[in-house]
Amino acid sequence: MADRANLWAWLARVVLWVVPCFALWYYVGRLADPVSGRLAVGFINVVGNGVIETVETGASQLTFVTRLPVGGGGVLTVDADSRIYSYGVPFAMALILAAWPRGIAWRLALVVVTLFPLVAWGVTFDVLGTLVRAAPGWTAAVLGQWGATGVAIGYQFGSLIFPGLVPAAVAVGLSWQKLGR
Amino acid sequence: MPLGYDGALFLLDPMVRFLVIFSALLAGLFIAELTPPAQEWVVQPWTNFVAYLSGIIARWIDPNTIVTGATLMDPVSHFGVTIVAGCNGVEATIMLLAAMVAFPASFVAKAVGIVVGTIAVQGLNLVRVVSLYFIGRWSMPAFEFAHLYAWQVLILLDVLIVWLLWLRALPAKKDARG
Repeated sequence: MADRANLWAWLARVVLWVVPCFALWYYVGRLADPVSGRLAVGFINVVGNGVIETVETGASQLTFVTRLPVGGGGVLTVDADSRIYSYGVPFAMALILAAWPRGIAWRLALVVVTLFPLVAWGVTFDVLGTLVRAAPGWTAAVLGQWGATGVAIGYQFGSLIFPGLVPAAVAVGLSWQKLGR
Repeated sequence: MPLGYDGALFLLDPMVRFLVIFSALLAGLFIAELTPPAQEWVVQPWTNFVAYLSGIIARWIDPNTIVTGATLMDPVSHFGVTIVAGCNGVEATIMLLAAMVAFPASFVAKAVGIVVGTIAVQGLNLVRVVSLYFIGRWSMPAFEFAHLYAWQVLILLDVLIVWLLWLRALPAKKDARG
C-alpha cells in the first residue's frame, strides 16, 4: 500500500467490511461466552481465593455465582456483558479483510482467538470491581487496599484500552506488509 | 532532528522496539491519567470543556436543548446525557500520542502529528457526544448500541487513520548502508 490513495481505498474497504463483521459478531459472538466465562472464573478464583462457585451463560450476559452469602440465605451473583469487551474483534476482522493479506484464514482465526483472553480480562475485572464495591469485608480480607487499587486499574485497562487496542494491534501487525511502506 | 534511542533498546528489532516503547508509554500515561492530581488538573477540566463545546453544538442544532453543567437534556423526551471521564476522548488521544512518540521520527514531525492528531480525535469525539445525545432522543436501544460498540470502533478507526496518514507524511528513511 504505497500511497495515500491506496490508504483511502483500504479505508473504504474497512468501512464496507466492518458492517457484516459487526453483524456476525453481534449475533454469533456470544457463542464464545462459555469459554471466556470459564477463563474468567479461573482468573477471578486465582486472585479472589476461589470466590466464584460457577458461571452461567445467559442470552445477553454472563452471571457469576459467588460463594459470598447475602441476606435471606442466598449468595451474591454478579452479571457482566461480554460484548462490552469484544467489540474490537469485528473491527480487527474488517481491518484484515480490507487488506486481504496472504494466509488470510489463519490471520482471521488468530484475531478471533484474541476474543477469549480479551473478554476474560474485561469480565474478570468487571466482576472483581463489583465485588470490591458490594463485599467490603471480602475485599479487606482477600485483596487488601493494594489489591483493590490493582482491580481498579485492571478494570480501566480492560474497559477503556484493551477492547479496541488489542484486536486492532493484532490486525495491524498481521497486515503490516500490506499497510506499511 | 532525529530522535535517538540509547541503550539496550537499540539492539532490538525496530518493530519490537516500537511495541515496547508504545506499551510502556501507553501504560504509564494511562496510569498517570488515573491519579487524583491528573484527574483534578487535567481530566476533569478537559471533560468540562468537552461538555461545554458539546452543549454549544447541541444548542446550535436544537436551541431547545437544556445544558446544565456537563449534562445535555431534551425538555420534551427528558432524555439526557452527562459527559464524564471516559467520554472525553482522552484515552484515544493517549493511544495516538504513545504511537507517535514510539515511532522513530523527528521531534517536529512528532509534535505536529500529536497536535493535528489530537484535534482530529477530539473533533470526532465532539461529533460522537452530540450524535449520542440526538440518537438517545430517538431510540434508547440505538443509543446503547452506538454508545457501547459503534462509536468505540469509529474513534479507534479515527486514531488508526490519523496514525497511518502521519506515517505516510513522514520523510522516507534513508538507508544507512546505501
